[in-house]
Amino acid sequence: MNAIPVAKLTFKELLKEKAFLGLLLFEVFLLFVSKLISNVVAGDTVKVAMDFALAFFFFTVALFSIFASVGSTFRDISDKVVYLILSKPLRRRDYVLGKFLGVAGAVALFTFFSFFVVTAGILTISSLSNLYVPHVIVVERVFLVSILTCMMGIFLSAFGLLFAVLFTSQILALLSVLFLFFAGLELSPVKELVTSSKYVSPINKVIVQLAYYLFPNFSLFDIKDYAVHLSLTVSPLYFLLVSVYFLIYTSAVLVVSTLLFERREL
Amino acid sequence: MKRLLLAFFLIIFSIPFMVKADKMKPRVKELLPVLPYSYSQVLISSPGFKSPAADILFINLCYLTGNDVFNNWKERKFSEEEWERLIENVRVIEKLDPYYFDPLYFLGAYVPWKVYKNRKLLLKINSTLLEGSRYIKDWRLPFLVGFNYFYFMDNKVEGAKYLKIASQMKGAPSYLKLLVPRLYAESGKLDIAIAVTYEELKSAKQESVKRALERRLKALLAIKELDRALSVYRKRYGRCPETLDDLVRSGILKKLPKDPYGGKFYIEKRKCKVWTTSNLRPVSTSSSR
Repeated sequence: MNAIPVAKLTFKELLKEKAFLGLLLFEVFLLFVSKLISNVVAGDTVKVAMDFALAFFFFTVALFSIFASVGSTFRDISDKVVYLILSKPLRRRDYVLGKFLGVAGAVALFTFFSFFVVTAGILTISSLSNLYVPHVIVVERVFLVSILTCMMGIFLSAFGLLFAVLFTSQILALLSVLFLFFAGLELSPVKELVTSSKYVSPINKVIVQLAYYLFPNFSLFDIKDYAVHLSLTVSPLYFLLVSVYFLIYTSAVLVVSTLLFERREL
Repeated sequence: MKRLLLAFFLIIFSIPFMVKADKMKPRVKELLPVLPYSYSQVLISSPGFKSPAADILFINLCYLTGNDVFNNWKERKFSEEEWERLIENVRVIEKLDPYYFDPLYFLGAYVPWKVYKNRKLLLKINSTLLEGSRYIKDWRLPFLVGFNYFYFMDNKVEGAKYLKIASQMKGAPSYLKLLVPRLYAESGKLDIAIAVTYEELKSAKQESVKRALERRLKALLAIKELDRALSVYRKRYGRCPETLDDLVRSGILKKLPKDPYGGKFYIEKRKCKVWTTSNLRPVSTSSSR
């Protein structure tokens, strides 16, 4: 496959990035912040620390995915590396696919390291807290959360690539992916609020419903509560459905990205 | 390097001006420190941070209540409106993170002591706790609902109903099983009290609990027997007897039963009902409530 050399190159380049180590260190700092916040709450401090630590984990992975996908593609274009690559017997769609696979690999590795950092952090916080009723932490649950977070990161990086190919301004591409990410997180609650409200007109309800079906739903990958509350259960079917949704939607985004890149004037 | 040092000292030099200006900044004085939060606003403004948002609201709530408890706002305590807002904020937390136990425990165990004169607020607290018990299977939630009913609202029947639910949940202390029949008996529902005690006796596994339930049953059956004799007396003479000894003198009872708790049975004149000085607790440890 012609995409593999590009994927390898992108992967190696991203591992050397300051953002990779920088965001991991930032995550350690955020664990300290989680511990500090949990200190001021009455009752189950470990629950609060976990809430914050896992939310920060989710967002750090999202940030890395956005910066890695948009930044790497724009760097290839601005440093003229893309001309060098495309001068080889390589189709443009293979370049896009390779880029995506490289970023996806880096995101997976980043999530894997983050999982260790976060798990070690929350286990340490738990051992330091002196609760009357200890908060049980199930590492397997945190791992399942990490798997979905990793999927979210890869999904998001597909959009990063799409916007990097679509826009000529890096800032615009970054902001667009960020906007899309937050919109995708908000869609489920917005739909829930709008459909249950008496004050929203039927037309607006239809618009929200349409947006709910068409926009990427990032909230599906957010199951942090499952790791925090042991009484919550998630069916294996849920993981299967989310995985299928992720695969189909990511493929669709990649198809559009390759199409746009083939038509783009470099 | 010199420029960096210069920049550093310039920033240090600017600090007193910033602090002075910050003190002089015009600020709107808040009339009520407990602000009402809306579920939809918090939900929309915290994408992916639903649970941390619930945590922050709870921290805020604890901080405000702590101030009220330790009288940091020297000029006044929480008003009733603020307590109502506080209850509403717990409802918002509950919606954001339905499995979060601590805010509900705080609401059920602390807030009723502050708002016990307001029945509407007590009912609001109970409905919030019951909503929470749909997600959190902890005996303390129905217990707190029951406690609010029997202690603050003087509704012993409803109280007993929720205590019974609590007593059947995992981790519930064994004394709850005894409290339920006592509340039914105190509210005049003797038949329910006896039936509940029988039921609990059948399922009790601990020997100490079994013995305590048997003693309770014995006392309840004695009250029931006296009550029955009392109604026969009323039918026959058209009035309530002066003392329980009248039941023996009239030949309705051969002798008066003894209270297994060491108390003495007597007639509550107002209702013409039998009760005991032990209040269904061993006399040495019994108290008025």
